[in-house]
Amino acid sequence: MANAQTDTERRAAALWGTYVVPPLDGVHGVIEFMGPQVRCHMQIDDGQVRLSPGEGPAPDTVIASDGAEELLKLVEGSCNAVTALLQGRIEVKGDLLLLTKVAGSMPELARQAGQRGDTKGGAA
Amino acid sequence: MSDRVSILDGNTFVVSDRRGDIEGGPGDDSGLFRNDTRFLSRFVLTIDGKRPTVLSIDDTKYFCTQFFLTPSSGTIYVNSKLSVWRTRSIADGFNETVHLFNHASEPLQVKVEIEVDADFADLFEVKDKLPKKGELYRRVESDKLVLGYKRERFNRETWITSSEPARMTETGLSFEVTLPSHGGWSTELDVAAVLRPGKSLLRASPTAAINATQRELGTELNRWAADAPRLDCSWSPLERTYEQSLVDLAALRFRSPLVPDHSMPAAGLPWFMALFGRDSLLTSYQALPFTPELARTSLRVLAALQARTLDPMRDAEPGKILHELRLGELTAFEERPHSPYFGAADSTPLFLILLDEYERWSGDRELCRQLEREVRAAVHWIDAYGDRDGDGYVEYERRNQEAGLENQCWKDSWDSIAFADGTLASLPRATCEIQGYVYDAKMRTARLARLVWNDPKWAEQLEQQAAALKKRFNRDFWCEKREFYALALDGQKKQVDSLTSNIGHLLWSGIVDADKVQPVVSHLMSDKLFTGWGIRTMAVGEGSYNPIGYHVGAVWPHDNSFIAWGLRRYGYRAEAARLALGILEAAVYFHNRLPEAFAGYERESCRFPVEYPTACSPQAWASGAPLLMIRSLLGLEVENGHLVVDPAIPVPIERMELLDIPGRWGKADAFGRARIQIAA
Repeated sequence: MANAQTDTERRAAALWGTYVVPPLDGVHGVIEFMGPQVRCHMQIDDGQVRLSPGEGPAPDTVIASDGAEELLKLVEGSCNAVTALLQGRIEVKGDLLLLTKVAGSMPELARQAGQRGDTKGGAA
Repeated sequence: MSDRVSILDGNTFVVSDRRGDIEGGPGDDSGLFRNDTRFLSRFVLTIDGKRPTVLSIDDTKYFCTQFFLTPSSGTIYVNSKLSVWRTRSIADGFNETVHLFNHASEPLQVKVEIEVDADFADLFEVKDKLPKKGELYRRVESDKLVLGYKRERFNRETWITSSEPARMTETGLSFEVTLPSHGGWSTELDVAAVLRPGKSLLRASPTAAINATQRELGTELNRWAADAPRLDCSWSPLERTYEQSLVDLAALRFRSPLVPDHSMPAAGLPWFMALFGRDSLLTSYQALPFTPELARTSLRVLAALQARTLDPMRDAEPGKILHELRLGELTAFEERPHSPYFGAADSTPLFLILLDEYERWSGDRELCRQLEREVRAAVHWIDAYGDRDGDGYVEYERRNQEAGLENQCWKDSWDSIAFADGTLASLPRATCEIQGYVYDAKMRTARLARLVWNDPKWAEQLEQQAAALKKRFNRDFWCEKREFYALALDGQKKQVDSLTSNIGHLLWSGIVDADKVQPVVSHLMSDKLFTGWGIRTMAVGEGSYNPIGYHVGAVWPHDNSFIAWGLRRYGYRAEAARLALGILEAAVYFHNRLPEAFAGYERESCRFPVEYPTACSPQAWASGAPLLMIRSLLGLEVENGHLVVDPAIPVPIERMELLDIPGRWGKADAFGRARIQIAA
């Protein structure tokens, strides 16, 4: 159990940092992710995205799940937020439109994080 | 007369037979639907084991209905002393009160039973007759019957309760009722479509909540009707058709859970109660002089859901406007790409066309400022992705080969794009009307670029691009021998030489060269295309023509409304009037509610327009068709910020007044008298 928790935290920590995501030009908002072992927030500001641990500014959208893996997959971009919501794997409160705008761009964060990890060997 | 009765509100609707019974199965559209899922597939009332006979139905409101029944005698005679009323209204499911009245002098004992079942079929499973992958379950609780479905974490339930004590089993409810002489009995059944079992609370007071909902819907409908212009016409069928159109457009307003604060037109009942980009845009255009808020909402929502990334599974490309958004199980598990799906090549230019038309009517430049980014992204899509091969035309071919749409124009049947000999055109396909929309979109966006975004350089570029497209199009799509525009260019850039109604949309767009207008109009009004009721989707004599072929011979009212408006654009007033009259006369035979489509048989061969099997009704853009026809008859246009009225009304109608037309001028009136003689 301790190893799984450490692995979750490690995967999450690899994603903290700032990204440039051109598809999110013109988009502003804060999304909070809440679940066991994963709590973080994403600030989107006209194509700049900052992913940080813990609570952040008052969120426009809150995504909650009772499974850490669900949230991690969302943040890593390996599952789509809209279909995860429809399946019941996550609950969402607040601005759903913000979520739909961001959903398709999540894989870009993971891609940039992966490149960053390749060059620097860790989170920014 | 349709054998279906429907009530709806937003994306919840109930389709039953004329007794009020639901017996849905694969391929059958009856049931209680919510979020693209059938929450109830069987709901059958019996009295002493027999299904009562229908006497009459009161379905004058879209959100509630009453069925008047009596037990069958088993012969041709109706001699019952028992009346049965079913009063049904929509509410996150539906509420139904069953009333029994004993008109006899002695008491009566009867057994009332309601058989129920729920297959939880996704709309796609209903249409395509697909099996379920999860598990169905049932349980009887102390106060309700629960029907459920679970697949991994996807969980849906239907809760059925009764105000009167009932014997509940997993297959239904039953009541042993003793009716006093000249007395009655009733029970209120509540059928709740529960999206999040375990997190939902049943309404504490169903009756109060439902009554409140009904009052709100009733008040809202009255406001909607009161805000729309008033039509006063010497031909009363047109007044009734107009009123029905307004009611149907009100009924079809849809709030997606993704955008709960905005309502925009869903496409149609029963298969298309969802957010469709093309349908919302065209319906909003039709309704602009009457209910401009539809346009504003449609533009805002579609802009918010514009694609921002490349996503082959969803046929999404940056800047593209969506085709369709669904919320059911198959979409949830990505067995269908509709979360949302972007497989439409015309939605994006239509978005630009509507925005300009909306600004022209409303003067709402603030919305244009807010949507500048989306507009630029949409134009970029046209040039960078719509034109797949750099030949200057927008063509389509699905990226999602498994579940994407093969045809991404409005005629999206598999067989709609065919040569005159019936051979299907190869992909990618560049249909003619999409090129017209692109031309119109660029011209209109150029106007907004100057007027709103202060970008004359971009405006000039767009106008040059549009001019070049027009020149190229008139060269490449014109079939010299037959003198009309090809339906499309195929994958090898060959002209797809079928004569179709698509050429009418080219008139609407303005892309038609002056020397080609007369031949186009002649074809549209010829016997091969014009039935006398309306213009067929494909001409008689073409290889794929079929009068009951969905997109290859049937008549679509919305198609005709844009053709009529296009005829007006080029000054063919009499032809536009004749076409409008034909469609409006057809509406009379459909109880003033034009269906999605009707058969393309010649008017001379039958006294009435023939129904098309499985046509949706109501359908948003069919409901909008009379509105655009009225605009066409009165010649309503905006020039330099003023409403211009240029009537061209055919003689049978005599006189029309449209009062309190909303626009940037506040409210204005239009009046016209018949001056157009229609040749027999």
